[in-house]
Amino acid sequence: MIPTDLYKTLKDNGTISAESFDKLTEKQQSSLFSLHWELKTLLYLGVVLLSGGLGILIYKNIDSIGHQAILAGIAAICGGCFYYCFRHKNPFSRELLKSPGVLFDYVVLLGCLSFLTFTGYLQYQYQIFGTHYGMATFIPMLVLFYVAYEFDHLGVLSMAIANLAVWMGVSVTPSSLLSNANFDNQTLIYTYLLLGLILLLVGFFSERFNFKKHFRFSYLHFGIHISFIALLFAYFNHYDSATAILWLLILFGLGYYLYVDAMRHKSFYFMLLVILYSYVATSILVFRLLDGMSNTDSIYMLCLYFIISAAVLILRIIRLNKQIKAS
Amino acid sequence: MIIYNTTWLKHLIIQDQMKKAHRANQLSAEELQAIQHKYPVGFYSSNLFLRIGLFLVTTTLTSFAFGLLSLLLSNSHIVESPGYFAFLGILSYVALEVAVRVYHHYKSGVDDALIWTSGSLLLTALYIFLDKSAFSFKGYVDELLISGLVFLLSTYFTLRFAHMAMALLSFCAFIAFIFFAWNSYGFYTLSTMPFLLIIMATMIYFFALQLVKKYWIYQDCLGMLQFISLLTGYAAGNYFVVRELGSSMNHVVLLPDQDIPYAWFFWLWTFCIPFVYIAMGLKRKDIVLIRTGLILIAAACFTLRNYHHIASIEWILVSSGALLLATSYGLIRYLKTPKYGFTVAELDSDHILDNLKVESLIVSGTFGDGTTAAEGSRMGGGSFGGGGASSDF
Repeated sequence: MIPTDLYKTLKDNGTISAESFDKLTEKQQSSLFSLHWELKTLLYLGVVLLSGGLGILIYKNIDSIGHQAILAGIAAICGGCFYYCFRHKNPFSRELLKSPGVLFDYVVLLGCLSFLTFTGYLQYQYQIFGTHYGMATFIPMLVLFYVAYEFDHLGVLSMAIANLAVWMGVSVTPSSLLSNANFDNQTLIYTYLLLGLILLLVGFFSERFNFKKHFRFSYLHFGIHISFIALLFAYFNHYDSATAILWLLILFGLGYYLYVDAMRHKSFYFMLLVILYSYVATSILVFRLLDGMSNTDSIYMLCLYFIISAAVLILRIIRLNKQIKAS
Repeated sequence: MIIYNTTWLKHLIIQDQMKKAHRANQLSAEELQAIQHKYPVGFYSSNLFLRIGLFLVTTTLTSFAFGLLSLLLSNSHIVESPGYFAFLGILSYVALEVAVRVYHHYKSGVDDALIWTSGSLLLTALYIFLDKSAFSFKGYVDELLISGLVFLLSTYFTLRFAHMAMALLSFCAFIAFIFFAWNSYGFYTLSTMPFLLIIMATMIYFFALQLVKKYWIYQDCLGMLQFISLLTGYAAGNYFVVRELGSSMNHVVLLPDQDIPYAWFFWLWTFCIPFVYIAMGLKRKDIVLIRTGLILIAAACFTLRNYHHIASIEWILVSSGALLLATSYGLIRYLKTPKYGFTVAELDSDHILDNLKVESLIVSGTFGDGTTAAEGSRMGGGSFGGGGASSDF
């Protein structure tokens, strides 16, 4: 609730100029009501329902309707969407591209989803890629990355990153990463780690070469989660050997670098991720050290460790927040 | 009653409003700075991510500290008495007051964690105390006691800290209290319950609507109350809720062809209320009503689908998706130039990047998993990510 005479007070004591006062009062009188986010949510839901429904429809009727008919239907939707996008798109730019309309982003999304259905169906029915399963995921991935960069679409970029992970033989969503926990498979862990580091690198390069700088967030988001989780898994995988500590050292080194980077970018989110993952790693280490004592004292020590470390962490985070806000 | 410095709270609102004006190019940067200087805010607040982080770390701290204390005292019998929980609760409440008063924490994560910790400890203490003492409670009284205690505690925290989640909890506890009280002591409970709850929720909604003009300090809490009371008012008359809850309360099993009394009223309620909300919201330009109405349309559709098989699920998905796309496309075209004071343009570009990013995470969350779901299924995830092929790795 803003006091009605606030603007007048501000104008009278000279805090704001007469020009700004006019603008402010004019806006207060004309108060337009925006349905922007409501309509966007409806559009998003529409795209999700439609593409999901189409997927099930094809799955259930695969034997009764002709394959050509299905293919033609999906291709028509996909082609229509991309036709619309190319008609309405803004010229390509290395910077952040403002979307030409509210609808545009969702047409891109629908086009990509139906394209994926299309290629998946082609592969299932006609084996166009034969047994080259790598190709079957590689080509959709390329298309997705191209679309993400061409139309400047963060959602499609996330899908492309997910596809990159599929291509490398893993799934990328952090939840499935944890639920499919597989400590025994070393190649899987190394693949995760490689994927995470590649994503981090791409994130840094997008900023360094000023090429779609705002995509950095998505790359770093996936990169940080994947590489830290992979490093922790690698540690547990080598738990009994002497090299185990090496993985945690790599983790701390990576953490320090990302921490400095997050400070430089004033990114609360990445800073918090790095701090929390490093805290987990430290706690694992302390837990292991104290477990070696294996008596009641170690439980007291563990409690003390958590009390002190948590207190230090709280003070540290608060200090950091103030620092970032002040700068 | 409120613990915060009300002048600062007022300044916070002024600053937010002026930052909005600055983003809309109605205010120059120097003017904004002058205003921020003139109306200072001394609170320590975190943004969403740090708030979650601080919440987690503070909870870790308190649980290990109390764990250590209990461990040290484990040989004595103090730990089992309600007084011990009260002691811990008061300890964390004092810490909360210190954090807010001395260190000026305001929505920082530390205060959130301490509110929940002290609240639940005090609740435990009170419950054990009342349960152990002379009262011989039976049946519903146990639920009555808990919901009553939760209501009292959360109302106190709401009033003192203007905490939204506590306002929500307080409302839910109140409704639960009414529900259990009427269930054990009311008359014709089964047929009167929906109407009683509808009346209660409606009263609370209009009450919150009235209060928001006067008590601006609690505007977030009152907004939350409006939202949840609208939702509860709908749910109390929703056919599904009335039928299933009613039959489980009464320990009867209704056959599919059996119907509940006044079924026509509840069906009418299920379908009309969402549109009434949206119409009211558009008329009064009230965003809470519009959003609630939109959510409830989905609820109405699920209710119908649950009892009447209209079409197979995929046709419903396709047609509702197409309908949604068509409707929103039509509205966007229609409102391209603002009409009746409505527009599709984004008026406040606050956190536009953040919003985009969050959305991109949602997209990956919904579609990312589809890629692995394909394993072993015929064509399962084929619609997403070409996962149909990857299953053969």
